[in-house]
Amino acid sequence: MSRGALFGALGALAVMAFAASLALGPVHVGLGDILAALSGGGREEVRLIVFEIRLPRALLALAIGAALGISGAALQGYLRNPLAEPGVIGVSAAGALGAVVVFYFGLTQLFPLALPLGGLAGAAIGVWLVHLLAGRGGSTATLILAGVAVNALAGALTALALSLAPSPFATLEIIHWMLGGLTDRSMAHVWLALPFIVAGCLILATLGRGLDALTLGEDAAASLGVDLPMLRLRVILGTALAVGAGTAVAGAIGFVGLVVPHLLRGAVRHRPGALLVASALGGAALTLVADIAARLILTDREINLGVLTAIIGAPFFLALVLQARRSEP
Amino acid sequence: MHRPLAPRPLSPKGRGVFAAFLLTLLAATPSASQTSAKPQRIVSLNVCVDQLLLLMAERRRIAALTQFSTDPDFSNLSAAARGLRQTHGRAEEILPLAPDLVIGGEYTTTDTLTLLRRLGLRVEVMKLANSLADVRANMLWVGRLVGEGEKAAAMVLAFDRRVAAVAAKIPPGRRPVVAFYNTSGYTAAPGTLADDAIRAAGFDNLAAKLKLGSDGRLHLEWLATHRVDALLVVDTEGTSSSRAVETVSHPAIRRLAADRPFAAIPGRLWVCETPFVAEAIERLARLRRDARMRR
Repeated sequence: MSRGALFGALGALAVMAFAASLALGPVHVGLGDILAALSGGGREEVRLIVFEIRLPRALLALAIGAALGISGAALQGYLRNPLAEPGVIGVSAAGALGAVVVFYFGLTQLFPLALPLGGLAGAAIGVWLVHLLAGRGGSTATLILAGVAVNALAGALTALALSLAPSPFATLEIIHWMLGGLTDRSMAHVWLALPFIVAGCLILATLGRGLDALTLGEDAAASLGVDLPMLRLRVILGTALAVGAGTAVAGAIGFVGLVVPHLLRGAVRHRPGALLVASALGGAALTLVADIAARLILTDREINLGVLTAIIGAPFFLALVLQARRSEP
Repeated sequence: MHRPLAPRPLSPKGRGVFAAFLLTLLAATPSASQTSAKPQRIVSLNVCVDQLLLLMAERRRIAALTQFSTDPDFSNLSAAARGLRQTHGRAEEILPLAPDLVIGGEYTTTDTLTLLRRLGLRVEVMKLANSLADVRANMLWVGRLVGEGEKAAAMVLAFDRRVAAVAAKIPPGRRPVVAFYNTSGYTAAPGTLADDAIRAAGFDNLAAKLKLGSDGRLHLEWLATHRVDALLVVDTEGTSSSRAVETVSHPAIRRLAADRPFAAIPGRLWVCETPFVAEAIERLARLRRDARMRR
């Protein structure tokens, strides 16, 4: 399949999933009513459901899914390791920690932008720590161990912050941060997170040439004119922006960045550059579909989106670990 | 889950009669044996018990209240609780107080209660109040435990008078439907105290019409599509931030609140079996009158 056809097919898939996300929910609304609402008319209650309840969550699923997909692809290309992923290496957990600290201690009430900025700062520290611990091209075992360490530390500090927080609900909400979801998120959350996510995705999308060159080795890449320290900075900044801001409004959603690049790698003939955009589109589609499932599987309550992506993703992860073990000496 | 003693449903008038009957029973039995041995060092391990103690027992007889007793989010008597000792419900804090009565709630850690019992303390557990009948029964129960049966009986009488005054003004005919939206979309599930209070105020409860279970949640989409004559949310003004609190200020709620009678109620009014439940019912009745006037 040509690259254009692949992007077209993935884009169409994401658009269909987005439309389905507006059309499906616990209350049945006819397609005609939804189209009427979207074109500015229709019944008041349908407009409320479409614009205030379903649209924000569809937009967030689209943006966060794209961010996770492209971050996974970028981290895998840069670290040259197929197991690198924002959730596995602890970037999402670190982003959640940053958001928790600013959210429960009242900073976001004074200054709403503190929420995405907190997530961003946490995620940046997370990527930086993993980079420091595992380095580039290090063994899979080192990367996973670094991820375990960052995940454990971020998780423990999140639990600590939640037990120290003044809100009586705080300790109960750890699940929302560890296994995130989009239940009842509003347009306010979209406006807070979207600009950062878009900026992060744009930075990551421009890394194609550098990542392609890197497959030839560092020296070859440097001789091709790739500025390696600059490339590293852009990977860290792009991932922090895209994943941190998304995590700040939705919590950590794992494994999307692992599953999607893995599924699409063959289709782009193992070119890390082409994998970036393909993974963004695929990640958006997968997250949208998983979020529809999260609200429809049970009739009287929702399953956290992060639970579903983990159930889909963890077996993938195991298969990849086995594969890595076979190929390593 | 604890069920009320009386067969349900009772008319508001029937409830009053039942309570009066209960009163004579209870007032007769304990007074002689217990006035002589009123507990002098009482420890509360439950924020509802905190409030009943403050209403009934002299301050010098209260050895400790909970850490929540001074939190206005939880207690109606946070100001009155100031200056009294607080515990975090741990056995090591309670033992040195040498209490002659420890009262916990159904949600108090059983391990702690068992330990305290084994160490020889008198430990009582107040049952969860799931109805107005339970409110009366629990107020009388605490009154009896602390040797203030008469005070408790008077409190129940005053409470019943306020509830009956609201009931007398409920017009006949179809009742307006209220939707109660609590943090995280929790609501007043059928069979809870809040559900009983909603009916006592003359409303039909949306959660009961939807037959939600005790941990059921009101989905925002249901709020938008079902008939809702009045909207009631929990008052989160001044509550520290959390995702649960954030749900109540969702734009969809604000939109629904804009074009129908709307009120915010502090959760502390009707979470516990205190006379403040009557205030919750009176506030709900005002909301119901707004809902009727619009139609």
